[in-house]
Amino acid sequence: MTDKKPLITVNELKIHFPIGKKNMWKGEQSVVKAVDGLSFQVFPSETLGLVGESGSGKTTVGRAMLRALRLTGGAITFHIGNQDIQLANLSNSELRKFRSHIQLIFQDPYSSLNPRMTVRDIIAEPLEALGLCSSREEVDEKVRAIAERCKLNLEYLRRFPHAFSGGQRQRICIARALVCDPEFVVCDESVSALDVSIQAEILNLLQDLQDERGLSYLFIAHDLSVVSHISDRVAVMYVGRLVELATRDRLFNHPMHPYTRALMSAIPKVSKGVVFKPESLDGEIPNPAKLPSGCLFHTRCKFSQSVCEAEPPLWREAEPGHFVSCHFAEDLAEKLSAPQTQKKPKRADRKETQ
Amino acid sequence: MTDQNLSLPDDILCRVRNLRIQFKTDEGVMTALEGVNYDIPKSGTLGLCGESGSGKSVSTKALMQLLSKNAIVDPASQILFRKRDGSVIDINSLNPGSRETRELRGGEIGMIFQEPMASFSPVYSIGNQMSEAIRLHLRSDGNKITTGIEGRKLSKAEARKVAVEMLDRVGIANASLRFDQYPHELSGGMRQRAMIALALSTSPSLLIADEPTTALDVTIQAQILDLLQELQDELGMSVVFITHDMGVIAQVSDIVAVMYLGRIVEQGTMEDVVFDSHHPYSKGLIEAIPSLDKLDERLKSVPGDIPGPFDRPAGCSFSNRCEQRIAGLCRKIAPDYAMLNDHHVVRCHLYNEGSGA
Repeated sequence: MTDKKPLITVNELKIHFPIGKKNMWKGEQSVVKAVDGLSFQVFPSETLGLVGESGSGKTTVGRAMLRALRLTGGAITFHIGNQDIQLANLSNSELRKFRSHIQLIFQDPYSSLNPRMTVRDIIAEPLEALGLCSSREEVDEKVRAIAERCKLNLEYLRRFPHAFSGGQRQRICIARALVCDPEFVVCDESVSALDVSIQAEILNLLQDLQDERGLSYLFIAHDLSVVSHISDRVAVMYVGRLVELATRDRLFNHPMHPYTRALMSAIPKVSKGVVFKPESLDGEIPNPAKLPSGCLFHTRCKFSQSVCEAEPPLWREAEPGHFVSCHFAEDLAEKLSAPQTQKKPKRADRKETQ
Repeated sequence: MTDQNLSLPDDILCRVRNLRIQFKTDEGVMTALEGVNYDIPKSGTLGLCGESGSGKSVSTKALMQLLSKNAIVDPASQILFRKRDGSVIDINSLNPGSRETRELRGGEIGMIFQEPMASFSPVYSIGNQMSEAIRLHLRSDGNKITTGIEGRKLSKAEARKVAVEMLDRVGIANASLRFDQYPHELSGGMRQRAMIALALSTSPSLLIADEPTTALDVTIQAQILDLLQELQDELGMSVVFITHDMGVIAQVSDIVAVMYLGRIVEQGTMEDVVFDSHHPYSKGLIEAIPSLDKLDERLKSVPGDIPGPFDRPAGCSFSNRCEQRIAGLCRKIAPDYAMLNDHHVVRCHLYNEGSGA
């Protein structure tokens, strides 16, 4: 991976939101640091998974990468062709042209489709808004091609969204995002609102489309098992910062950050005859307006020591391609070489022991 | 209707038989449940799972008599429930507005909902809302606080004491401070804990948990599941756990019922249904879960979409998506239950007449 040229380089990305009124005597405006110093790369034809609890800033990162938000600091650079494009420096008209390269698939297919537009108009909207086609015939042709690819019946194009189920609506959303042939798509919790049996189908469709078109996805989700299924590399976020980033296999077989480990063990799992008891993490994600000192995770970390409270850990490459920010990453990884799972005591056994 | 010598086996708290519910809508009459049967074991957990529109929630709302006005419950349906005093009643024959129903609802049967923000009123404090339930359902005989109707009503101070104890019990720090706070001042996980405290403050014998962890993060979900299991062991109540997440079902349930379009398609002990599922739909549901053990395999999906309420297929309701459909049979005739063992039943033609099992 490392010798490949990245599609997107994100460097020290910062997004702060002002909160409350600025006090004219006391100077400083107080801010929520929704995203604070994120650096990572996205490679062509790659899925980068982004996981974290709610409030960790996943969506903010996704929106920043589409420039739906103004950056407070840092840079997002797209390497398209031989050009390096600084997203933050684009003027409005340049940004409009650039939009066809970057698209978004939302979480809720019920609220993200305009009920007053036909499916054809919904899918055609990006083409028309960005002026990518010269004639109506060309638009129609492109709409039909992408609808067919997303397994939408062509008769549906004349209907309105209310006639469709969640899975079909999400296909419409995917068709709309892909109609202008983007290089990079942000999937913000794109399958979370769907039923399990439908979710699997949408995940498969996203993967097929990626293989065919060489798309890169930033796949944002809170469900680690979904992310792990679709991603090549996975980044774990905690209150606005990355705590770990590695290839999927490395992350799952050899997690180095205690938060990643806790997140993984919290997933209820079913596998042949065994039910795993999750290792629960105490407490809740801290309020981003009142961040703890030092390592942000030390308030919930089982292994925290005095240094964790005092100094924030650096974002470093612990092994090639495996980034982590924890003072004791290597020690912990060695000590607990795999996430520990425990068999659930059967109810009957529990009663006997009482 | 009066009691007509209704009875229940000792280890069953609640028995639902032939529950049929329809809703009158502008577009016509829609059938939500078509003859659902299940037993809720005493001090055990029944897991109800299925996708949206399968009727999981409707079936438990009928237990609480909380269905909307346009619902038609078949009078032949039976919901037998054993009250604390040992007598067995048919909830379906009670008048939803009657005193008896109101005592049951929130008293003997508690409920926690998916969205804790939506189920608390934003204009009353947490404590105020808990006290309301406590003062409605608990009585004091001078020195002891009991359930039931004997004795006098609790004073506000007594109710506060019960509520604070309960908040403390569900792991809320600074319980007496939280008592006076409003729902928006609590985080999602905290609110769900408060919801549990509210439901359990009247010590119900049956707790209905309707997707209680779906809106929560996995780490908080693990905490809440732990808490529920702990409280269940301690209080000995029965739980109906509704969720679409098979992973959660496997963790909490003793008995599992898989629902699809208003019918239970498979029911049995957790081990039978989750690890040895027979119905093509339950199999599909389990195989569709992305798992950390099979990362590189392509996900198996259940083809097609869930049909809308007005275009349910004739015959077996899963027949339009089923890959093992028997030509000429499944599309025409609805299958009957096939017994695989004493507890394990499947509603599928593949297992009828001894052909598959």
